[in-house]
Amino acid sequence: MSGPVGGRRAQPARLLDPSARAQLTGAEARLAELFARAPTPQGLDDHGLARVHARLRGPARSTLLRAWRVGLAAGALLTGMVGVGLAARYAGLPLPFVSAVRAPAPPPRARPPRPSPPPAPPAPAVVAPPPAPPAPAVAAPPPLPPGQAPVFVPARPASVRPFARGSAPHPRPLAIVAPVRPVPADPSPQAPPLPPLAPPSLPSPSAAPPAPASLPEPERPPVALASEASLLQEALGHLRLERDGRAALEVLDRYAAFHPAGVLAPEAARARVDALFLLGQRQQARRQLETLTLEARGRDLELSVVRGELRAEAGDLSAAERDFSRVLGARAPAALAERALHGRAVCRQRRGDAAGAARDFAAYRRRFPGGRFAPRPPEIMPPEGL
Amino acid sequence: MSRTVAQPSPAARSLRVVADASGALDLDTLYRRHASQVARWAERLAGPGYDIEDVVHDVFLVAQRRQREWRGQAKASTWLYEITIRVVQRRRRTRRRWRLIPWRREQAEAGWPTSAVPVSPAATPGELYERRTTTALLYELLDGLDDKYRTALILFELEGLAGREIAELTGASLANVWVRITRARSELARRMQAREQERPR
Repeated sequence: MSGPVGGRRAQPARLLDPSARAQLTGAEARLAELFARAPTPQGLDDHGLARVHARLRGPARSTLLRAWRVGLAAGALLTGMVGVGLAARYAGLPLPFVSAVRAPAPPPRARPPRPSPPPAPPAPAVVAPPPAPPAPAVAAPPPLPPGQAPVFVPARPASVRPFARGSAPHPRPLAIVAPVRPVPADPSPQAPPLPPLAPPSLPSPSAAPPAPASLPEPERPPVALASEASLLQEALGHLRLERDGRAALEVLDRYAAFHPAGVLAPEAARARVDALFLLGQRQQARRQLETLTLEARGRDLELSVVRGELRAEAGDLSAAERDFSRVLGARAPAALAERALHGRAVCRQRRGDAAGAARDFAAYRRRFPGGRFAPRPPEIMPPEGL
Repeated sequence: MSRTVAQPSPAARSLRVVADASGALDLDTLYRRHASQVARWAERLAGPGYDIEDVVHDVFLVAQRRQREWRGQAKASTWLYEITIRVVQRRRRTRRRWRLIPWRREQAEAGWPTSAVPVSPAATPGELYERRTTTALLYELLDGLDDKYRTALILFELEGLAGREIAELTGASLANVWVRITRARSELARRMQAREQERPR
């Protein structure tokens, strides 16, 4: 079907042309009516045009692009972590990176000397010594002799962990593990002695690193690792997805109670800072940050800036200046360097170091002429009319 | 050509006017003169459910990026029109791809609240409703067409451009433009008929 005028390559008549429209019938006539009723577009008003103009002039796009990339990388990282955590939890796979870090060259596990097995009973007798209970879910693994059942119960002391972060003894090293115990501590006299594994006294930090060669290799039960990852994942879910700081704090409290010296404790501490921020508890967040040993890389740089800002807010200017200087000394991203430079300038100014403050302000204006702390020109849209 | 309602503005000047002495493009001036026009073209070409501010933003970003390619052989308005067409086509393609992604599908179908100026605030609710339904029906039919047919038809019927201008903007020959328009109308009429049979008035 072509228009009323001409064939396929001739100019068709416009549907809105009154003379052509009079000859149209059926669907084409209704189509012409539809076209005729189509409203004229209004475009954007002056405010909309001014907004677009401001976006075109500002550096927003590059920032947006960077934020996109960072978000993408963070998402990929988080997905990977969650995947590994799930695999560890449901498929029973060991966490590869954790085992790699904690035990680089796992030697064959030296088990404590087993008490000599009872002489007579053959294999079936070991599998089911008591006749009555029909395969309980919590039954201990078969090889364990009855006297050794509580062996996995005693808390693994922090002192024998090969890569425990920091050498400071944990405030609650042994007693806090109690909630994990399926049975209350049973000081049965038949239990194997285990002298090197569980020293009765509180472990001293100096004794921690050089573990004697005769010590059996401590191994973190995969269940504990999976539980750590699961709790942390739950807390991060509350934080990132639901933005629920209170729920995240509850989970993190649970984490601290169950895993006081967990492998993921540093990550949990950082998540706690995020949760406190989310709840607006800035001073608690500062106190939490004070307890952290922040490194000059990665997310710790951002936390250093935040800690500096909170310290400055609380009046601890010299400590804040140290934080900012550490960030500026590292290869921090521009957004963090901008905050740190401005923060240090303000701290120096407040402390009466006028020369230092002037130097920092000048450096700020030079590095970030259109930065968020720089004075902006008042005009958004050029005055000429559109 | 009898209808010249929405032809490129007669005030549109050659891009040479907005180029400074060194030949560099003065994008600020270009924006001041043409942004409002670009927004209307974008609204017409994209239809409801697209954020016109974003489209205009993209058009001028592309103009900024491509300013070296411009040789001064076309009017500024023609050049911007061409960019607008491509930007809208790209957005429509993206939107179509989003329909394949489960968590994006709803957004792709519902669209974004448009940033264009609400039509005639003095209109009665009945008039507003009628406009909205008319526009929705028109673009629902148009969206079923291939992009090249859809663009040619909108430019010819709604924008009132001449065949030669459409050929210049879309990079097709004049004969091809007529073929596209004819086929687009034919397809549109067929769709309308099918729709009426499906849901009799």
